[in-house]
Amino acid sequence: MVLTWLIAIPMLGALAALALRHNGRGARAAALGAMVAELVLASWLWWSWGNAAIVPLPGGAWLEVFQHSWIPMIGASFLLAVDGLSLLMVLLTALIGAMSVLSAWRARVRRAGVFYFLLLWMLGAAVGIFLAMDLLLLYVFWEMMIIPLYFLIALWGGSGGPAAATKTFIFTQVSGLFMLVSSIGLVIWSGAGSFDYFSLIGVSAQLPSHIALWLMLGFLAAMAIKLPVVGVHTWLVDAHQQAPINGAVDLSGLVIKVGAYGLIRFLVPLFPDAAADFATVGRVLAVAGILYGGVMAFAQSDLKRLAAYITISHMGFVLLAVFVWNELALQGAVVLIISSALGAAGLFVMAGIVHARTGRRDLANLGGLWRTMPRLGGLSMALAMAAMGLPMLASFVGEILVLAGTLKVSVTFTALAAGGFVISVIYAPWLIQKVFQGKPTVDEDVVTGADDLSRRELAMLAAAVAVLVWLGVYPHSVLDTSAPAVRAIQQAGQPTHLKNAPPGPVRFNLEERP
Amino acid sequence: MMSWPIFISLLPLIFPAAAAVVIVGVLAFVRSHVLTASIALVGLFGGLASIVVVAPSEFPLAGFVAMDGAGRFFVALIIAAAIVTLLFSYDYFRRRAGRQEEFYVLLLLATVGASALAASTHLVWLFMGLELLSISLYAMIAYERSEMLGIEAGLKYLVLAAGSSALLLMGMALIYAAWGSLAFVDLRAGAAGFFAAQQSQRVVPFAGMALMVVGLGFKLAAVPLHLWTPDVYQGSPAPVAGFIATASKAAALAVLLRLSGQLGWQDEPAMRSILQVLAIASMLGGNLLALLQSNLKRLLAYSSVAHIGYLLVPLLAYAGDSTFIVSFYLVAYFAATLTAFGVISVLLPTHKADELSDYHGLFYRRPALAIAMTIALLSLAGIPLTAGFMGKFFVLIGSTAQTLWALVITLVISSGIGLYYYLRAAFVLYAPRPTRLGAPSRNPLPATSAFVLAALIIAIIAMGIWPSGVMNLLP
Repeated sequence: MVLTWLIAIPMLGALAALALRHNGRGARAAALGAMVAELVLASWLWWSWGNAAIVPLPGGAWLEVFQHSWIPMIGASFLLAVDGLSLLMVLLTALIGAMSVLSAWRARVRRAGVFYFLLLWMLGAAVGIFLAMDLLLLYVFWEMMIIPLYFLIALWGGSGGPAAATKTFIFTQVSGLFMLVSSIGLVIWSGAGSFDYFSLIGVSAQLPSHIALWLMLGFLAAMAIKLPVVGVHTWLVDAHQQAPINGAVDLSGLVIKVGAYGLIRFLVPLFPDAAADFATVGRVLAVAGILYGGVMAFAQSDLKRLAAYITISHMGFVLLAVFVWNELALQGAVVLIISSALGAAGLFVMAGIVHARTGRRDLANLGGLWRTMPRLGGLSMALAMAAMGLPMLASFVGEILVLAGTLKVSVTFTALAAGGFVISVIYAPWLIQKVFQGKPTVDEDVVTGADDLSRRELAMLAAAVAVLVWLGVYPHSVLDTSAPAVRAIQQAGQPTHLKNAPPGPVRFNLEERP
Repeated sequence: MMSWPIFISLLPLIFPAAAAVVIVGVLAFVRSHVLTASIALVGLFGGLASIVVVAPSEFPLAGFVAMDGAGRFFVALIIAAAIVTLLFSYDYFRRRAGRQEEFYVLLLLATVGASALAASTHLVWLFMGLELLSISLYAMIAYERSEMLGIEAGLKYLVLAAGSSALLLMGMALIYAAWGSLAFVDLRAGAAGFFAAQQSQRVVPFAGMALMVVGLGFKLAAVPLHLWTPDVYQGSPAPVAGFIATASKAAALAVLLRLSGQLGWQDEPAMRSILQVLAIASMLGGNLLALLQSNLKRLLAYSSVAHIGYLLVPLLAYAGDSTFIVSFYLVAYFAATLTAFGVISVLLPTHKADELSDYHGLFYRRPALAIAMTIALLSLAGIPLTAGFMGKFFVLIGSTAQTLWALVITLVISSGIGLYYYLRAAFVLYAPRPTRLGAPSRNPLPATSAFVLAALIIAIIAMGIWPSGVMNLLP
């Protein structure tokens, strides 16, 4: 039942914000209250549950399962479950959601009630995606997340908002439909007769391999576009560019990577053999994403587009981990999902603050802000360092684990992916140099020392940086939670020919503590 | 001789027909809009209630009209659509000049015609119902005689519907020539022989079946027989357009469904290709052409064409559950379409509301109507938590189970195209620059329409969240 509450709290907050729509302050207070409550509840669960699996079901180390009948005639039920991986994602969503509400706090949002309604609805749906273990329910939450995003970008976004929102919507919706068709196909042909994840694990082995491949591609379409994988990434960049300047929408709708979670949780465990057959292509796409994202980040002049390409580059590592599929790489992917989301969230908030203070967001017209805004500069520096994977920061842990996992499988791909580090060393300091160093291009009387971070903004950015440092120094606080889940998922997603093979030598033991 | 059981079983048709006769009689003495509408409403509710009374098993006229599970369902659906149309029309015509009373006679007769068509199991009944429906519709479309577009639409429908009826009749004649009967029961035997027959002996019945599909396809407005749709929707009064989009199409679809079950014509390769082309062309054509529309009624017209394409998919994937899939989809489609046309009909009499640009910022003037329209559009687009999604989901289940990949892929892609214009229409409602509609309106919404719209919206959401409730009612 507590899982239902995790989904219900943001949605109740959304309804409260809508009810208070004639009172902008009340609406935002309701929104923040809901996200703080969500964060408290999720943290409490994290603290109290530990990580020992309680419910003996396949495909995860389940801590809690909740099931209620929904459409029995087609074998769909309201089935929620949580394991370490899902719990971390819910925590991340709550944290970023609270940041997202705070980032729009003083922005004088037009029609604030509807704005916060859509924002929280989207966050509730994201939590739903992380908890739903019924494929039909998953699709419902998947879509529920997209519609508010459309309206938020179209109505509150920049001048190109409607076009970018439509592009986002059509990309994600059509690919989502392919996922739905694949789910139906899997349920019908495997004879499982039910949409629940637990009973669908392993059934694809009974299907002819070409059918399993096509079904897997349906899922891959949805996840890859949402991630996004290079080639289908343009919607994300446009959406970030046109999203409302305060960054709230970037954070709650785009930064939390439900696609990455979907790849790990659903794609490979449901279609292990097909995913293994597809692995080379997947790895090529992943490495292409790492390098292309990095190069494109360097080529951008818009701060938000730059940040978008940085996340594309990071998501390349996640995709690589998915198509390497060993525990080490997957653990790295989990850290990377969290660190990339927090880092990107920080960068989008930073871009929003810079835009709000100077009215500009293009790098050519920015510079010298350090003189007037040293606090923003310092924290942005930390975020940029995190983006380029400096040791002692979370993304370093994630990337190094993914590379170590990849090394077990292929030296070539490891070497190519490591190239991402090189590129990030170019774009990250360059970003700081363009915005904060050099000659001031904005008059000192437009942006004065008083425009530096307010306490609220300082708290938000400092919280993001603090988590990044904490995870960089002591990643086990997250790795311990996700380890049993990731191990179970990894085993469920082993291709058939490896399932019965003896385990290889253990080179990196994640359980061992100094 | 009309025996008692026959009378009982025909009650769903007799009630509306009797109401029509009563209205004509009353009109000779009293002209009262509210009285006429009330009589019509009583007739329709009587018809709906009597469906419960009709026992499906002991129906004595099975050779002509079957009140079996599917028959009862389609008649109930059509009468329900007629009730909604009537309530919208009441508010619509109340606020316009001219004589309104005769409209209800036409609506009742059209309902009887559509019901007879939907439940027919005999080609004569089929044709009779079809003509009763068409002739009533001619007059309903052109009911506002001062509107040039209405006259044009009526005339267009008259000419094309008459032509399509002729084709249908020709098809029936050919089938009669080949198989020697007009009752569906006998046609089944004929069809069984047909599949066994030599190629040379297939020509006549095949031509008959093809012509019948064309005749019915016209009523459905499947591409390429859709040419009348946008003009007729644009020209007719908004409630009538809603009625054409729902009741008239459901009746034709019910016949098609029954013929598919009886004749199995979707198994004949050439017939299958015809139906498949109709389905794919309607899905793609309807959605693509809707992209070009700037008029909301025309947009909904093309959207209805696309939905007929989706509805033809379960016919091609004919299996035991096809009737169920079509029924569920139709309920969802009815609720959404009637809501959309209901919103238009509430707005239309007070100010011109035809072009999409007239709806700019509707949310800030009439929030309730804008939200109703949004939910209807989202349901038509097949977004989860609305009935439309569940409908599309069942269609996908049916067609995926039969591995009809061409249809599945077309369906997915054309839904993606469809999203574009549904979203554009929904976005316009909230667009921040209100052009014509400035301050929030203080006039309350007409009570009847508001009540019906609320009921329809609740139905859409309820079916989207908890479809099991409706699934148990379907055949």
